[in-house]
Amino acid sequence: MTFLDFTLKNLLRRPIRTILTVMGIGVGIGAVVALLGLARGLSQSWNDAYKARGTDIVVRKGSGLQAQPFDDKLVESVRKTPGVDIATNLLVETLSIEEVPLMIISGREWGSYLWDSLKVVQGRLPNGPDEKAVVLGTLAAEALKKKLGDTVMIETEEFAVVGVVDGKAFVENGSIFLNAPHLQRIMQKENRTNFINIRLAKSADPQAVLKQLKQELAGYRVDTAHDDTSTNDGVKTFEAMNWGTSAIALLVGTFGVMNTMFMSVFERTREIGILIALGWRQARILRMIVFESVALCVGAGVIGILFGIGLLKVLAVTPWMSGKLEPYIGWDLSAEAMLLAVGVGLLSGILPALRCSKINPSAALLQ
Amino acid sequence: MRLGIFLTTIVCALSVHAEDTKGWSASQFIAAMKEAKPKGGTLIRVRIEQRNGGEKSTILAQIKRHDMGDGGTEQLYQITYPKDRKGEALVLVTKPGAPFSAKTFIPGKGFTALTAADKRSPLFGTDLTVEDLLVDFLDWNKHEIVGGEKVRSGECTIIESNAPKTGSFPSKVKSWIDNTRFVAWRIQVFDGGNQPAREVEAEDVVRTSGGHWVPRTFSVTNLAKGTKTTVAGTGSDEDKQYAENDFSEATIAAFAQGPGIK
Repeated sequence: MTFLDFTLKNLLRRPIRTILTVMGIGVGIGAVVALLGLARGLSQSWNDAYKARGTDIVVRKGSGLQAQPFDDKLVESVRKTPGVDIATNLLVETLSIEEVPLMIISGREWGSYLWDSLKVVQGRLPNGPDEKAVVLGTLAAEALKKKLGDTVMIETEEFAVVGVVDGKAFVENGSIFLNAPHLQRIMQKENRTNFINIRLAKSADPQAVLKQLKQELAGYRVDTAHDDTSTNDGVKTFEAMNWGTSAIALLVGTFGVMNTMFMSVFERTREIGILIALGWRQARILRMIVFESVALCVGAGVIGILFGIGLLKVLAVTPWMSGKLEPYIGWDLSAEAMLLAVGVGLLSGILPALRCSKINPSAALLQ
Repeated sequence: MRLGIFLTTIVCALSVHAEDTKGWSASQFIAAMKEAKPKGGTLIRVRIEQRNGGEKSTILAQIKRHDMGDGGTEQLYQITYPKDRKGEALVLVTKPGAPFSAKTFIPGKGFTALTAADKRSPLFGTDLTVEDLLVDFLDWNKHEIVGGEKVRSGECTIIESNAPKTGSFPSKVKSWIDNTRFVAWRIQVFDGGNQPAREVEAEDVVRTSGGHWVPRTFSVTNLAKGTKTTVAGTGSDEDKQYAENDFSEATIAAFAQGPGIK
C-alpha cells in the first residue's frame, strides 16, 4: 500500500463525515466561484464592449459605475492630441424603460466610429442625426419585446424602432442606441456627455498618448479601455464585497475541515502511536495528516467549482440577471478556486498535523 | 403612508446634517425635518409597480414640484408610461392653513376638479390615494417619541403623530425617523384602530446631488387588502427652475400628445 493509498483510505473510514466536510467546504468554494464570477462578469462585459467598439482609451469624470457628465466640447481638444486617430463623445444613461427596470441607453454622435461596430441584424441604423429613431441590441429587443416598426418610450419621449443590432458584446446587446442629441434633450443634458471614446492611430504609442492626455485633462480619468473597468471603483467595490462574503464562507469551511481533522487524529491516536513505533518520522506523520486535509479540500474544490459554475449558469437565465449581467466563467477563476481549496486544506490541516506528530508512542499505545 | 407622506419626507424634509439628537423632543425632530426643506423645484422620476395577488402592472411617472410665491406648493404627478395612459395627471396645490386644491387630467376627457370626497380615490389605479399625497403629518401639532429601533441601516426614533381632530382619517401616523439622515425608513398609518391600515417601508436610501438623503425605493402595503405598491426612484433633479406655464393646463394637456416620433 502506497503512502497515497494509505492516506486516502483514512478519509474513507468515515465516509459520511468525509462527505459532509467536503460538502461544507465545497459550498464555500462554490460561493467564491459564483460571487467572483458575477464581479468579473461585470468588468468583462464592459471590456468586451470596448473591444467590440475598437476603443483604446476612455476619458470620463468620476470613478463610479455612473460617470459624471461634462462639457461635450472637451472632445475637440482631445482630437488634437498627437496619436489620437478618432475621438468621440458617448452619453450613457441607465434608465427604467417601459417594463424593464434598468437598461443602458447609449447616445452616440452621428457618424462616429461607435456606430460602425453595430452589425445590423434587422432593419437599419437611423438615417440621420435628426431621425427620432432607436436601434436595439438583440438582448434589449428581447427584453422589451419589441420588433421593427414598434415604438419605445424613453422617459417622456417616444422613438421608432428602426433596427435590431448585434453589438458583439453583452453590454452592447443589452443597450438601446440613439443619436446623442436626442438623449441629451431627454435627460436635459444639452451639450453634456459622460464618456469620450478614443481610437489611437496605428503608429501611436498608447502609453505616450495616455500620459499626454492625463496631463492635458486634469480632473478627468483617462485610462486604457481595459483599465477603465478594472480600476473602476464600482467594480472594485463589488468585487471586494464578493471577496468578503466568500472569505466568510471559506473561514467557516476551514473550521469545519479543521474540526474533522482533529476528530480524525483523536480517533487514531493509538494507530499513529503504532506508526511512530514502527519508525515513521514526525515529518511523515505530519505530511500524512496535511495530505488528508488537502485531499479533502481538493475534492471539495472540484465539487465547489462545479456547483459555482452551475449556479452562475442558472443565475444567468433568471429574470433578475438575464440580459443584464453575463457571469464570467473562466479557467483562471476555476484555478484560483482550486488554489484556495488547497490553501484551506493546508491551513486547516497544519494544526491537527502538528498535534499528531508530537504524540508519544508509548503513551498512545496504552490508550 | 404612502406617496404623499413619503414624498413630503423625501422632498421636503430630509437633509439635516448628522447631529447629536439624544434628548431631542418629538417636536424638535419634526422641526428639524421641516427646516431641511429644500427650496426651489424638483423633478423626480419613479417606477411604480402595483401587485395585486399574482398580477403586476407597471407605471412610469414623473413628479414635478415647485414652491409657489405665496408659501404654497404645487405638485404635478404625470404618467409617462404605458403609452395609452401617457399624460394622465394629478395636480395638487397645498397652502398652509388653506384647503387643498386638486385636479386630475385624463387625455380625451380633460380636467376634473377634485373635492374632499375624492380624497380616498386611488392615484393612477394603484394603492396610493390622493389623501396619501395630501396628508402631511409634519404639520400636525401632536407628536410624541414612543421608542427607538434600527430599521435596515438606520438607527431610528419612532415618533407617533396624532391627528388634530378625533375621528379623522388617518387618525395616527407612526414614523421611524433616521437619527442622522432624517429620512423615514418606515411609516405606519392608522385609520382609527390599533393596527396600522397601511405601511410604507423604505428599502434603501441614497444621497442626492443636492445632499439630501432620500429613499430610492419604498413599498406601500395596504394591510387590509393585502395589495402592495412599490415605488422606485429612477432619477431626480433638485434646484429645478420651472417656467410659469410648466404647470398650466395647456402644458399638461400638450404633454399627453407628446412630440411624437416625427
